[in-house]
Amino acid sequence: MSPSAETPRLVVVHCPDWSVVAAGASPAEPAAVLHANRVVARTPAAAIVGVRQGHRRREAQRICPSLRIIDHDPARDGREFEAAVRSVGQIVPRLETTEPGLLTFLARGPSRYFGGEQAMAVRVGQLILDAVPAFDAASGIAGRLGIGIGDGRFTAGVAARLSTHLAGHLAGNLAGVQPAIVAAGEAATREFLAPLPVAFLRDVAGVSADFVGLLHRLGLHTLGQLATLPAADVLARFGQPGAFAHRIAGGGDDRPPATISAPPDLLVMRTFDDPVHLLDPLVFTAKQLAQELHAMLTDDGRVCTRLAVLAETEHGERSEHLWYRPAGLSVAAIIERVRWQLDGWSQQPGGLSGGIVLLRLIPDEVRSDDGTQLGFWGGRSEADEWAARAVARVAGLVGEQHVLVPAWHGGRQPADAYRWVSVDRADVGDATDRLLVADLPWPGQLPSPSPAMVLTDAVPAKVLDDSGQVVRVDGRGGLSATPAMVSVQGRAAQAVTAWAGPWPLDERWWDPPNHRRLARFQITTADGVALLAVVENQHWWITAVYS
Amino acid sequence: MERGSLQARRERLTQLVPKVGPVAFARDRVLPVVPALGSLLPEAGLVRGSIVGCQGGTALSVALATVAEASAAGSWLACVGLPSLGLRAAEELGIALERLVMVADSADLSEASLANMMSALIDGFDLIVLRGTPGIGIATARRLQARLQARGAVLVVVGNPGPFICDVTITGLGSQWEGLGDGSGRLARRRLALSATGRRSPRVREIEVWLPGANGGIEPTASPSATEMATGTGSVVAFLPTG
Repeated sequence: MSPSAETPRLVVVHCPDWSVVAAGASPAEPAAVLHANRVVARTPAAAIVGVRQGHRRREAQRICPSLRIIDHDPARDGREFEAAVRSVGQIVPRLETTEPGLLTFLARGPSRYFGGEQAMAVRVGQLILDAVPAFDAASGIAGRLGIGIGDGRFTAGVAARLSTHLAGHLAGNLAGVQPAIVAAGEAATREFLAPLPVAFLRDVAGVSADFVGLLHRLGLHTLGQLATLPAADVLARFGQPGAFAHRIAGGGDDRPPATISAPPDLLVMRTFDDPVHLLDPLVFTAKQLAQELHAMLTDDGRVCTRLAVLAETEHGERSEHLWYRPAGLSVAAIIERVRWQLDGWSQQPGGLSGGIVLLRLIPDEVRSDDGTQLGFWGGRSEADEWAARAVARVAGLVGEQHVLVPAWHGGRQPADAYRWVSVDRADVGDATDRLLVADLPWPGQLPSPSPAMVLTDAVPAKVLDDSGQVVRVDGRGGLSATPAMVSVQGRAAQAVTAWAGPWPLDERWWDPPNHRRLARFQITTADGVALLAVVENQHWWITAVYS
Repeated sequence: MERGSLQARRERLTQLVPKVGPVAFARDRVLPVVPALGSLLPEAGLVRGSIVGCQGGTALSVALATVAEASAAGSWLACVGLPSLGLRAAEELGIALERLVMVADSADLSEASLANMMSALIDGFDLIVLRGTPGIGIATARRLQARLQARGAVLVVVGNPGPFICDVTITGLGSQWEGLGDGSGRLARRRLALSATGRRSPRVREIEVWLPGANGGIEPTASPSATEMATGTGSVVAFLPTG
């Protein structure tokens, strides 16, 4: 697939619910794979009932109480997909995997061999259905595998998505695959894309969800509406991401900018004198190779978008895969893919007969690393993924209610402005809902600096005057005496070095059960501690400490 | 023949390149730290895999200020054993609340569960702030420390580090609040004297900062103050429900 001036005609094979297929769930059983508390894949039985991608665990269980919940395991997805890749690889020479469940290859060669694109697509679909037992082709429940053919990656990807819906609607098709083929040529592509919703930009091309939301708000609901805008205006208004979206909406070149073929002699390899049979040493070697390669590329300011990974056994068996990622393959991504490839290869019946003696990484296509995240794959960075996985593990260990994230609540007291929300009710990765701070005034809120320690349960205290009497505050904010000593929870009293207040607060006077009248004081004591003290109904409490 | 010599020449060239290439930047090895605290830490940042200890009455604010810049730059922060963390204060210091996760009530876990939890956090988070180490034995602490170095995370321990060996210990020497009078004014800013000792370097570094400064963040003071500062021996432990 060398970059050429013309957009190449590509076939995209897409299994949107691959995670649940890899987990071995049968199509008739309602099951869903969850990642970071959200549904990423579901079986047709669950989809019929109404479980959608993006649903939270509780929503999904409410819709379908008998839903089987499966944890997301990317290693399992990658491993199981190897069977499908090898199977299709028998008839297609250069096969590119983007992620488990998404294959791309050039249409020209295989379609000529099989006598037409339709025939080729049906053959490829059949190969995959046969290679993956979990597809259970005989059951007749379809809609889980889509094949799309079109000019360019975006068109083919959109066609593949539509094909998954098509198969679901056509009954009696045992093969369960209805390829969607877009006619060749710019005009046909544009005609195909025009009536489609702009949501495809987000789902297929990885354009940021914010941008797609903006298009909706501006009244641009279809790709055709976006494509008819003048390109220069779109660039001026939306910048590079907008220009990219505009270009692909019109069926134009959808390769990430500044993509070129890698220099031919750029490769890293390692040979082993003793054949290696275990996976972990190979992955460790792959990590070193990936770091070397990454360093070589970043020296030139580049990042690899397409990488060929080749492994060879002592008996000459080879496994060669192309891995593609538009945003560039980081070291961690490369290691993950090598692991999927080798793990899947070793699991095949009759896959490996010996140990690995050669491991080679050859970059095929590189692009300049401008550091800008084009928002691919939902804009989640790797750090977000790592954190989400760690949160899921910790929640499993200590219980979901003990893992908390901040949420904006609003209020005058330090404990009210932000609250803690447990992760089963909040989205760790996407904080826009819970941290959207409305720009509303909160008169009566204490100005910054805020206390670093906000006590969840206020600690009772006594604020005493010189004669040892508790200081009282009347309704108009007058103090009975100057505070001189503070004794917290019965401990030794400390002398007051400075203080200010009272700052009265009269909240919810219209709501008698929740009506609160209190006065706040800031007090520093002789031992250097600054406190936020509150008096309510003549009882003193410490609510926060400026630690 | 010609291709052979070309290949040989290319191989020699590729062998030479790393010797004459530029030195690898340390940008990934050290996480950024707000400039006011830069002079306290070795390499003017948080070295990945290191443990920073914060002690004294102001340890919590210092710990938050230490991780604030890295958090704002994109790293995820996990807090363990800080049930009364003030979120407004954290935000004012610059911590990104959308990348903050807290684990509460970890005191009543068994040692094995605690170790597993810490391992999971080290795997997924760049920054971990920990207060209190109940139930972590020395062997577990060594293993966690090794994992920290392997993963490149940074652990900031507030208060007694327990079995952990800190690479840098920042101690609050004395603090002075400004702005509060005798029945008037309000807490405006606090002058804090900090000293740092490293495990490897015997030299003690001392600086003075405004923490919190005028807007809640951390700022360096213009010049060392000549006024006497209250030696902050006040213990805030008294305010916490579990020691």
